Amino acid sequence: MSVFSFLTQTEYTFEGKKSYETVLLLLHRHWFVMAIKLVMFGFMALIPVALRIAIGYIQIDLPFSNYYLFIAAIFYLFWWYGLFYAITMYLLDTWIVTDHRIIDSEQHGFFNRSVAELSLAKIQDISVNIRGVIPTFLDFGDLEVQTAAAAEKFFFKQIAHPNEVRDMIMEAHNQFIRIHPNDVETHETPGSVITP
Amino acid sequence: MLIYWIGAFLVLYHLIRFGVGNQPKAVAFIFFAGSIILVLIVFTAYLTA
Repeated sequence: MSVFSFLTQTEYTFEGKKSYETVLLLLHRHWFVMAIKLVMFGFMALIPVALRIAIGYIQIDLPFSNYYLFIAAIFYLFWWYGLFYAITMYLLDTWIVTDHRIIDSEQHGFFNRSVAELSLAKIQDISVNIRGVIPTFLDFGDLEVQTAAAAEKFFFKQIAHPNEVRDMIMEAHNQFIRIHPNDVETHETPGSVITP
Repeated sequence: MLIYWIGAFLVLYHLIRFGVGNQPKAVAFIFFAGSIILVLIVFTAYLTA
């Protein structure tokens, strides 16, 4: 089914991915964050049904009763749009850890996107912050990457299993330092050396 | 309806262009299919009203 090939051909690729890069982690916020929104949308979906039942119970004759189905259909159309807008914003907030760098890509709305990246060599310290009852039970929280620059920090917000992610990033960092002494890249083209 | 489809295009564009992995593309497909079905329901409801 070549028509649907776009669903399978882009696994773990993203804009700006280097040919020599391997994606180690692709992180979103924890599913619980999205689940809260989905429950809210679930309740919103009941509004037209509840309204219909209420109108039938009170037995009032509204002037727009002939158009009720039409109005409800329009409501559901925009409900569908709102639901997928929320899902889109959730899916486009990503943190990617490759074997060379960390990419923080956050979507703040349509055409409002911030992307920052950090070489694994520049990581100095990683701390995890799990705050609250539900995050503790479900094991999700914030991860903070301190870089060599004085004020620059990377935040992974509400990610699942932050302690495991911290260990994996530290392991990737150590491996990167081992393979790339003095932070020298030698991948782009044969014979060329890229220095940061 | 034109406003809806412009908005739908923006959702589809962002999911397909900036989504990493297969999941956003699959979500875009579900959104598109659902949008077509709902628009047809809106038209049918309008004609029968």
